[in-house]
Amino acid sequence: MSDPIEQRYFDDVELGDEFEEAQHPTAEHVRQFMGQSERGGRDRSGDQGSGRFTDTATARSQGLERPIVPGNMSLAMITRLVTDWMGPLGHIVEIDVSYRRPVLHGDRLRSVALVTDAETSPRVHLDLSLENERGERPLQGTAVVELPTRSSPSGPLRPHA
Amino acid sequence: MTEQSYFDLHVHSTDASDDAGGTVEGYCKWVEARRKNGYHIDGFVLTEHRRYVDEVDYSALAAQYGVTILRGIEVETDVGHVLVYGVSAGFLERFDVGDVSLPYADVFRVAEETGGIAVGAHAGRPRIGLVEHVGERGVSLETVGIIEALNGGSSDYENGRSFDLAETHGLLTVGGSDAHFVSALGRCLTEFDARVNSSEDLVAALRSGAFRPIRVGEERDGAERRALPSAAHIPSTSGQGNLGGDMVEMDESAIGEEVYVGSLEVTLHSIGEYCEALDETNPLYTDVDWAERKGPYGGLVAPPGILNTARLQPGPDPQIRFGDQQFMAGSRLETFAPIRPADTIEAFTQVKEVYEKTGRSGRMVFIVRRTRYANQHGVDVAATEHSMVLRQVKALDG
Repeated sequence: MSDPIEQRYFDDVELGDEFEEAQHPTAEHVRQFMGQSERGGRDRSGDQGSGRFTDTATARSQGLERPIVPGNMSLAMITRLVTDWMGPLGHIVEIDVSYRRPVLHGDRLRSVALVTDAETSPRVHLDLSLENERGERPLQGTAVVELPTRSSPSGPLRPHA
Repeated sequence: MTEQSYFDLHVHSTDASDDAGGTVEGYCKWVEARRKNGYHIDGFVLTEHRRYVDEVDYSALAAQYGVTILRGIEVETDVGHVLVYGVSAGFLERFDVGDVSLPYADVFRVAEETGGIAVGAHAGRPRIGLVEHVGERGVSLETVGIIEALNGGSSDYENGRSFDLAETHGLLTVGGSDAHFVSALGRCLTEFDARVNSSEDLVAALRSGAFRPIRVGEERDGAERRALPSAAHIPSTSGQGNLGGDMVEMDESAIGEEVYVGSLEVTLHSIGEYCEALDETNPLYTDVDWAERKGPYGGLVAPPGILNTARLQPGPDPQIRFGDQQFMAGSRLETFAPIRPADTIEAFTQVKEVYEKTGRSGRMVFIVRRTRYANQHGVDVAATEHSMVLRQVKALDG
């Protein structure tokens, strides 16, 4: 059985490498994601109900142009960019993002990641951003991942619980 | 021929800015890499938010990477943010730089009097830039000589407004990236017609007036320089709500205490549904057979983001009485161990800190909560920090 996803190795990564994916979160995507999040009432994220994520009138009453994508979903989108790039044998050590502006339903986004440090094997540091068609960056952040090396292709070991 | 130098005058680092992800060494490495690609940058100025940090010695890093690292500060005033260079003990004695509403005219005047110089930061941004305050409140620019008109974190429209203000009022302009992350450094620069090796040199160069803002790449030999923008030719960007401001009251006893807030049952089914909602195809999360035969954990595991689907109690409440809306402002995830099907993950939350700052949408209060996740074996599998911002907003209709 062939591997469906390309595996990235530390040996092949250089500072300045950049990769991206297009994202286009629609109202339907948001509803699916929120169905997964069991959202309701005053949820864990502190957002006061789901109205701003699904209802135009509620969104506009809160100063938003139209319904927005939940922050957790934006985080999930940028995280997927990282996991797609690093491959199944990579490991996310940490990911840290700031939500600078709302992501609106229907926004056409670029998820972008850029290697900012690849000196100390097996760790790679990345800068992350979501960029919309207006040139704004609603989300910016960083990630630290660990990649396998060609001499240790099974990947970095993590504690087994 | 005049010797020129190129500096990024507006950089934030993890050493002192709460919203930065770039380390000082990371910035140095970035400069080194950019130079290899023909970009020219001599140094940068750390202008941390509301803090002047001089305990850390960057001379070793500066020498190692051949980069000039200087210090300034970004303070918050009643007309927005202001960058101060050549920060002296005399300046720090006059102001509580942690205050989010310093009197701007005094900041500009005292900076000058105490051997430094002040610059209006990202002048075209709503609320935290000079343009709106001049336009809506008619504030005087008598003490203002320089504004940051090319800011790497501002939109073209916002930068255009800055240049229009400068042209109308005869202000000088500088460029800075406003980098919070490594890859943003150098996005905008200031070109000086002089060597700058120290804060004293920088202040002298700014007082001379012999400088100009440029975009990344324009400092390269033979590079073409684009015309500086005017807002008249650029569509405005998406807006945010208007902001008011109340005194912030809170229950500080709620800060620091960790409490149990709930649990999450992880199953093959829930992992499958989560992956389907995100169009996730990584076989580590979706293919049991592949994960068992080839994965590093001997079996399928859950994407760490599945923790964000947990339905938890809100945890300790500092009872902050400010604003009428909350939005997510930031998230941080650290992973320690894999999350497996049939795991029961328990969550424990504490309010880590509460702080105030101003931004495009005005005054804001941030609550940072840290949540620790442990499995049924008592092993911590991950930790998250979520930052919520409290604001007052105006509805767009009616």
